[in-house]
Amino acid sequence: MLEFFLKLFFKKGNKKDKDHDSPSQKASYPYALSVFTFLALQSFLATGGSLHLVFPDLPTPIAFTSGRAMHLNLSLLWPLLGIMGSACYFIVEFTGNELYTPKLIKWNFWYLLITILLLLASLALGHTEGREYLEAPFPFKVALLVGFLFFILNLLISIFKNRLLYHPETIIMFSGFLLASLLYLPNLFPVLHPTVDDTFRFLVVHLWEEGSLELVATTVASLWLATLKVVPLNRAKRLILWEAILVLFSGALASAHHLYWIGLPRFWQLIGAAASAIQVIPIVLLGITAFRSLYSSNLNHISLYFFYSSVFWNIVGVGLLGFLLALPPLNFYVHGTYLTSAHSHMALFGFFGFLVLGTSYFILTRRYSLSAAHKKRVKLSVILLNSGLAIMSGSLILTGLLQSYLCYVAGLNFTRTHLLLHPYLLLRAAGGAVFGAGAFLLALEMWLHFFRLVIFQTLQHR
Amino acid sequence: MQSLGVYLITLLVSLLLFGLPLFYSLKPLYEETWPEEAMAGKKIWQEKGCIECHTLLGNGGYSGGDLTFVTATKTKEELLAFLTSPPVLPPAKQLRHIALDPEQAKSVISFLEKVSEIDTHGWPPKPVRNSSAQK
Repeated sequence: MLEFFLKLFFKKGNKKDKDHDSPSQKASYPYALSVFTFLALQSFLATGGSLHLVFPDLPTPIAFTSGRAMHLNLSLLWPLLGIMGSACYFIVEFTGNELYTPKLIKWNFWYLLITILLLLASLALGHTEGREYLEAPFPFKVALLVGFLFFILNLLISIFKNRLLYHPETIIMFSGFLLASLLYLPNLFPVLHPTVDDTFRFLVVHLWEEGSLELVATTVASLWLATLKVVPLNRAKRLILWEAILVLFSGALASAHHLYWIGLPRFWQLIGAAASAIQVIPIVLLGITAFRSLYSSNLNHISLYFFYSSVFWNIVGVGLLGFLLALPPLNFYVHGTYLTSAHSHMALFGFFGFLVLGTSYFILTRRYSLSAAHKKRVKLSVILLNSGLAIMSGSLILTGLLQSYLCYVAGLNFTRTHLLLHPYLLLRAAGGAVFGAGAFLLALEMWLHFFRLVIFQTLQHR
Repeated sequence: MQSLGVYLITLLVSLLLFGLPLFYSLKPLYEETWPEEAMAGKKIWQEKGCIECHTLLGNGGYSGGDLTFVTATKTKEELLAFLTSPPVLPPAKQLRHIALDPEQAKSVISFLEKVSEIDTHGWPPKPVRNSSAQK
């Protein structure tokens, strides 16, 4: 019956040639390149903002509030763009079928890019909805959702067209994207009560990265490792399924750890603590896979540096620190301190960001031989990114612990506490500068690679 | 095929396990009615991007302090004076807090008064010691 319906409405798609990237895969290149560019922009804004915290009289071209809003929005938007591109690439790679329309992937990128640039310009001019991470004014939120839905529609038609209804990896990725769009919906409209407002916000801020998009990210990562033959395909497929089940089971309920003190009933503390403990299991599973993969003889692609960085920050920042912060008696004393900021940097960039950088780098470099100088500079940039993040998050942890002690034990008022935190915040800014250097070097290197690629292809066509 | 079924059932169950208690927890809050002035205050709070520097219910920017219970520690007059004629903020030598007109300031204070009624289960913690260093 289903087969009859599929034959009637969807003509089977074209098979892809294994030795070359297909048009759908090539359409994901701009997504991958934009990731590096936006990261460089974000790190520039963030370093400026962190300096402004310590030297508030420093003249700046845009207001601190605008810069912070741009930084936060970028922290969600470029990983989203990156994971969209990576999902397209790996779905085609592993199903062997083209997506419904590569043209839509291409045009969708330009549409989303223009929307994001206008959104950032609007934030820079001070137009804000005043909701952390979701400051973008209403029209831009709608525009983003429309672009995202077109992307999902393309995936859905591809699933029908290529008979992928029983293909677990594709269905997991599709459900992850669909869930992300559903979680975004309640955030389109204004909400009066701050408790409801914050709860809706965390559906995106927490559940995108540790739920819906994590489903996509872990699937993409497993397929990436299988492509590199670091992990056997069968094991990767088993890992994808178990990861997905555990992420789903724990991810949604673990977002309760954001709801302890914002005006919801006490039982959320129990749910949040229990689910956050379960959330450690998929992290351990990924860690074990990463550790086992170290014995593989195929550890020769430089993109793996990003993968192992991601696993490290996932274990330390999401697993260890996230688990501790989710314990209600501890959370009571650290909620609303810089410790939360340390966790979000390690989770959003450390785990998710590095993973997206890795898959994006792989997509852009897989088919080309890379020079020794290029590899050296990319290695350096990964070292700088990791060192910068370690300095930033380390100093933020110290700042948060001291802030909690000064406020809740010593009983100092806010102004005195904040003045005593300045040396640590300055250290955070220094970490930001190191991170920024890495981000710029990486972006520059990827643009140079892109230009070399364009020149190479132009010469080949002549 | 079987494993895909397990995945889809987990998806459904986890959404129900999270969504249903959340719905019943949020329902009474969603139906609350707030005075016009407090509603206008929330709008101003958002338009001015106050969350970038201040936290509310512990969420937001850490450079300006948490304002969940600010109306319990400062009088209305003190808050009005601060918001309409803002002082220089240490450690800055020039930078001042943004200024609001009196009507806007009253609305924001009304919003913050409503926020202070939210039950945060005792958060933020009361300081163990009352420091004399503040004086």
